[in-house]
Amino acid sequence: MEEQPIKGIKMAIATETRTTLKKNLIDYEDSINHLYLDTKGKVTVGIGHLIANKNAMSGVTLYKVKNKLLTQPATLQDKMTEYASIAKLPWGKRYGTKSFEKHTTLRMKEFDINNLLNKHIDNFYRELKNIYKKDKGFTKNFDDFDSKVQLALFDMIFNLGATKLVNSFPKFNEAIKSGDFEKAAIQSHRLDVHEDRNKHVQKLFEDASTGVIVGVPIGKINQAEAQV
Amino acid sequence: MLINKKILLAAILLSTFQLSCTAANNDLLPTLNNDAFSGFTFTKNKITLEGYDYKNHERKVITFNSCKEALDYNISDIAGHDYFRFKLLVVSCKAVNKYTTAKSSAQSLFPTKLDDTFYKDLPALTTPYLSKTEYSQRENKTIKHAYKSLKITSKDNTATLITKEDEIYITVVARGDFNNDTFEDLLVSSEWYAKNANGKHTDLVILTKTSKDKPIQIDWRMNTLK
Repeated sequence: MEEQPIKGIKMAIATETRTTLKKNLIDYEDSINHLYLDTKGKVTVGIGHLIANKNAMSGVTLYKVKNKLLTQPATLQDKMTEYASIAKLPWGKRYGTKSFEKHTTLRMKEFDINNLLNKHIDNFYRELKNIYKKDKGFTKNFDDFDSKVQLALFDMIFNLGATKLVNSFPKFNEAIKSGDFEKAAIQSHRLDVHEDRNKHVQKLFEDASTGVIVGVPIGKINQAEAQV
Repeated sequence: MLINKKILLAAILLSTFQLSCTAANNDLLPTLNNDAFSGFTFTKNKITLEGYDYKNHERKVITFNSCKEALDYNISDIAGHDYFRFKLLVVSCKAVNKYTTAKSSAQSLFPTKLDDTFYKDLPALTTPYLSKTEYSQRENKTIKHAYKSLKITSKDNTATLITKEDEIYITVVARGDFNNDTFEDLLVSSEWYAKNANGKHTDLVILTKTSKDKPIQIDWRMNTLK
């Protein structure tokens, strides 16, 4: 997806890091341009973007489809009607995202899916900056970590959330605190997560521990690209 | 709805599917929560599935027509975005396999109707754990002691647990004697969702209670510590 500036938010995530994050998230969540129900029956769209209730449809941009083209933007009423229609369908392990497509009439543009995802990335970025900082005993601030470490931490927080990342993985955080990324690689293992995902995160830390350089730390590279 | 195994076989499963359980007079027959097995049909010697499609790494659609196919499939080959949904199927298939081994129980120390209080007093490790540390943190605690600011509601054999960070579902999928001690056990599946993130985990446990004075214990679980 093409990088889009986010107005009003001062961000300093390297374009390359953000692009890699998005690619990974599409692998984990898929990118779906219509409403669907997740495995707990919550209305969802885009890349795992949960819509809490029908009023929250105001924050989701959808379009009507005509001759397979996305034509005019859907009204709030259109979107709320679609929400209500999807919300009452059966859900669970039998119902993949694709199975909901035939019940929908509205679609999202890739541009808008990208914008929603950017907001999630920015929220997690803020939380990561608040967790991993020098004045909490870490050797570096989040922005000064190697981009591999940043990507691995993003993966952890996307999966666990900030509270679980801090409270349920104390040995992992101790390893990060002491700059022992080899140990962090071992401690990053999450039960019941796709093995490829665990291995990917483990390798990011291992590469960081052996000094494999794949990018300049986020805080150093992207001042010119920072969105203000 | 928990249904008697005999009714299940006769009315729903069209069945020549013979289970290994035995029942003496006045024994409690094993029961299966049919609501947790939508799309499952039991035929002779196997469980067939309907409507279970997933994508693999190459984004090719894989259709699973039986639990055997699902359990034989290498879960690592499932696409990342379908991993959890597939894991839910694995849990259900393993639950049915467990159910087929259940014996009738001579007695039960579990209530017939399970209410909020019952779920609050379950071992905290009934729900999925995310790490070894979290396992240790919840060991020997009950749900009400392990989760802060817990809101719990229960209906039809499923409890919903909500905290600031967690959304958890606990479902009693079957009852029966799974460990041959003559006491009725509960086969319980659980799902954990991060409220403020995208994480989701699932597990299956057998809960046992052999004395009124002793707490409920976890006798077996599907996920293991590595």
